[in-house]
Amino acid sequence: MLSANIVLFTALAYVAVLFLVAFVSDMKSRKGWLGLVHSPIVYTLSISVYCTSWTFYGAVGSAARNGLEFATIYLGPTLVFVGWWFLLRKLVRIGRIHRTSSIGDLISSRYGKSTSLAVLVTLIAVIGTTPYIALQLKAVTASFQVVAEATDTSLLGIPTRDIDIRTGFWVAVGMAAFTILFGTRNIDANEHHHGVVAAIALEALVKLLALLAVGLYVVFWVAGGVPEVFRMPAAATVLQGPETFGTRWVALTFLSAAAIVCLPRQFQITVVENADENHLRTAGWLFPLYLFLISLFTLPIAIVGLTTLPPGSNPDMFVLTLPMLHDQSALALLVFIGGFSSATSMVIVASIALSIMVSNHIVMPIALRLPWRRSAGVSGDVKTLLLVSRRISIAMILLLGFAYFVASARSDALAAMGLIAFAGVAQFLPSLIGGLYWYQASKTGAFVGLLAGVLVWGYTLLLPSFEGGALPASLFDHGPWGIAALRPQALFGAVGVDPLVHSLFWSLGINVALFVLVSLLRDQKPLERLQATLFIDVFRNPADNEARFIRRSAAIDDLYILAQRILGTEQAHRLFRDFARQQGSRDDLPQPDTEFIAHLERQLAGGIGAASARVMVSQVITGETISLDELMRLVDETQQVIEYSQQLEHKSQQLQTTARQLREANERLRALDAQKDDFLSQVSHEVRTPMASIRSFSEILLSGADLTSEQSKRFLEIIHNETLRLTRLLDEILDLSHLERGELTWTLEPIDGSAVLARAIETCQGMATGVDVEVHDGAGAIEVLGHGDRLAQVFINLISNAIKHNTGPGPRLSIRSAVVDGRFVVDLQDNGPGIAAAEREHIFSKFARAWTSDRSSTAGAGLGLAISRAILRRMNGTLDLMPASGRGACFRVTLPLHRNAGQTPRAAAEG
Amino acid sequence: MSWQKARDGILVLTLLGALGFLPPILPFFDRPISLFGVPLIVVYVFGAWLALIGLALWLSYRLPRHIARTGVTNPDDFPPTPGEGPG
Repeated sequence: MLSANIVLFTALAYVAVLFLVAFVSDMKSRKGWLGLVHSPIVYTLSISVYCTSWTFYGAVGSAARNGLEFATIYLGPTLVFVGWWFLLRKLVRIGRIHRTSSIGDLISSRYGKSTSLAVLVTLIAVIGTTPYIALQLKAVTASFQVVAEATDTSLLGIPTRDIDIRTGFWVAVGMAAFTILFGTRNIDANEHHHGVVAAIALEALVKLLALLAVGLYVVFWVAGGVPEVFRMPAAATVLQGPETFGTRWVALTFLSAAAIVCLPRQFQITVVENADENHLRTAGWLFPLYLFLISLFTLPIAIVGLTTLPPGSNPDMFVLTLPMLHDQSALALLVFIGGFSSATSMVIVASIALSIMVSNHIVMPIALRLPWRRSAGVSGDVKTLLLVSRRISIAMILLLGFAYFVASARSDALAAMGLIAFAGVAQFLPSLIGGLYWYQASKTGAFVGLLAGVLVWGYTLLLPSFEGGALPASLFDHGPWGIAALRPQALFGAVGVDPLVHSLFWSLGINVALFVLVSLLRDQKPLERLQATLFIDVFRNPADNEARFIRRSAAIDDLYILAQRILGTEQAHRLFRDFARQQGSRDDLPQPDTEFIAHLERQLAGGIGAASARVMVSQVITGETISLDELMRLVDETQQVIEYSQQLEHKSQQLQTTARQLREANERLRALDAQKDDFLSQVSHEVRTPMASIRSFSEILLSGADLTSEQSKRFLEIIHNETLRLTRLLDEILDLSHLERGELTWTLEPIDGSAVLARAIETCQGMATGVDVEVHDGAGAIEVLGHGDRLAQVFINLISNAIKHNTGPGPRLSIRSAVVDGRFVVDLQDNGPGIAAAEREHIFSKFARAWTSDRSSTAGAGLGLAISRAILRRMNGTLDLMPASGRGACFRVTLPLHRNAGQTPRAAAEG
Repeated sequence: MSWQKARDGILVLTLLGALGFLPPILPFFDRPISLFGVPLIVVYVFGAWLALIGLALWLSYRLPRHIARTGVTNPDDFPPTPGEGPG
């Protein structure tokens, strides 16, 4: 067994180590050496200030009573940290950009730097935290008495004597000294306490090691293995508690998730003390791992404790009494130090966080409103006021905690305090989350919701915790003034619900409802709207943007005096000089433009809170306008960016389509260009042949050689013929080009297609000697819209081609006309050599001759088919080469009948 | 894996974790079965917890790092480029 002196000496030695670690880290960080203190591991370990003595000792007690339920206290924070990218990252970014000094500062700053909201948050935090501090004092005192007493009853985990008030007092004094020493050394614009963080991280390691050591010892030494633990009779009773996974499980998981964000000490460590946003990446998995390890042995310790310790033992002390039962003094001492660590780290961080809130949000606003402080002050006077008020606040908070501890030393009221405090700070959640993600969340809404939520919480949860004390039992049985609907634990007739779930439901429900409702009903002030935008769009708008909306001016001297009062001479000088450099000025004083005032206000906010900083800056500035137009534009910008990106996507698709169309058009143009070149060279070629003969014959005539008049006449005839041919060629070209451009002005009129065909056949009769022409007139007299001579020209061209080029023996031409599907169809089938497959495609283009092999001087220029096709197209008809079937070629002419065309006379007339 | 996917993965992981630790999933494992001598529900709670941590570790380092603008974070250390900061 341990003597009290050994325990006391160990505790004091441990405290000395903590002081040393804090001192060294503070000194080194002042010299710019951040090393280990500035590492994500230390950051993560310091977050474990979440695990207080309530979880160190109490988790096992909770497991002994309610089985797995203790895990909810760790699962909620695990989920919040696993999802760090979505909430914690935003909080840390806002905290850094806006120099947030506490959760009260964040909420007040978001809602237009409201002082009243900051005061309310501070009061709630103090009310919720003080009993929690008392709980820590009680845990340290009780564990000290248990571990240092050499009686048998100490194994029950219940001190024989009354709780020793003196131990509690000295513990409180020691913590106050440590906190004041390392928590209020300076007013830092970043509010970083490196010494405190280093000590907290060390304490986090100690408490984890202590719990792991006890767990390993209990499981493998006392029980003899993991399966043996769960074979113990207590295992079944612990794990088969009724309704473990009901509403209370959900409520506790939610509550712990809310607490890890809203507890002032968690906010202080996670957001305010954060030195680098990237540390969150490590904390995102390492802190859940820490929670996992610290709760790994809770269940085995509870089971083994219930089985081996005498009946009636206090389960909340199993962690300590189990090693004592087996005479493991060293282990018991380690556990005591672990419990001491968890209690002290909580008290230290919580009192720092609270002192910052009290000094910034309660003392400063009062001081600023006192008439004799409003006028000129001396350099650093505000700074001194802050430091002194923080030190006094720490002492007062610990004194309050101690008083609470003394008042409730004999009752068990403190045991439930952990969850009650969680439920209290959970009231911040609606305003906090709403403020981070909802533009319309307004200050009035937040204030009303918060106030109502806290009142309901106090009435339904905090008040019943004093039951049996000063309060009459009738209040809980029959309600105030006998109104049953107002019974604290059965509000509005909600009977039979777990008190915690009951309180959480009503307080948060009313809180959220009023917050949303009032926010929707009341308009925001311009500053609120600005802050809402700056907070919600924190990843899009750097705080520099603030200068766009608020136009302010001030005398640089006034600003300098103000900065000196709050930051002290040295820091103020540095701040002004650096900004002057930034502005490109050689002078040490910057231009007091809007940007500088915004920058200065943010720096001051880091020290005294956003609300007080605004009040102080407002005292020296001369004119302030908040540009609402700019603000609305900023809000719209976000929307616009989304729209622009959608439009861009749409445009780029359109561009792709257009580009494809252009590419196709370009290919067509190139093909046309090539055709044109072809056409030109063909024309030149065609013109050249007759010209050559004209030239050579005229040269012969000119040379004056002895020519008989007969010869001369013949030559002249040739020249004449060639000229005619040339003219014909040029006429044809002109004709074709007019046709293609639609410039020819001949009108379409109803004509008898069969008659025109017959006339054409007759015309060709002279040529057709030796060719067997058979005509099958299957159409009879029909009317088509067209131009008689032009249609005849087409038929003549086709017939003459068929006759001219049919060089085989027994040439035959068969012409069949018919009416098919309302169209006049004429097929001209010959039995000639036909058209080679390769030529079929080009046969209708200009100068194409499928019959080049037998080209004679009388052959046409190769424009006939092209012209024929153009003519028919003008008459809405077609000219096609039918698919090769057997010998010869077959051309088909089709024209719409006038009866059909008559139904759309306009189209026909235009066509 | 792109960082957007890792981000979405973190969101899904958080939601799945919340679902997995709440009724009705949790009571499903609350039955008298033992794995290696440990009740199934205990194995599930701690196993799922560890899996959640492992996946969070795996995804966290696929998310982009934040590069702080020193001018915003520390008044003593403005960025050297003159055009960037206020002024």
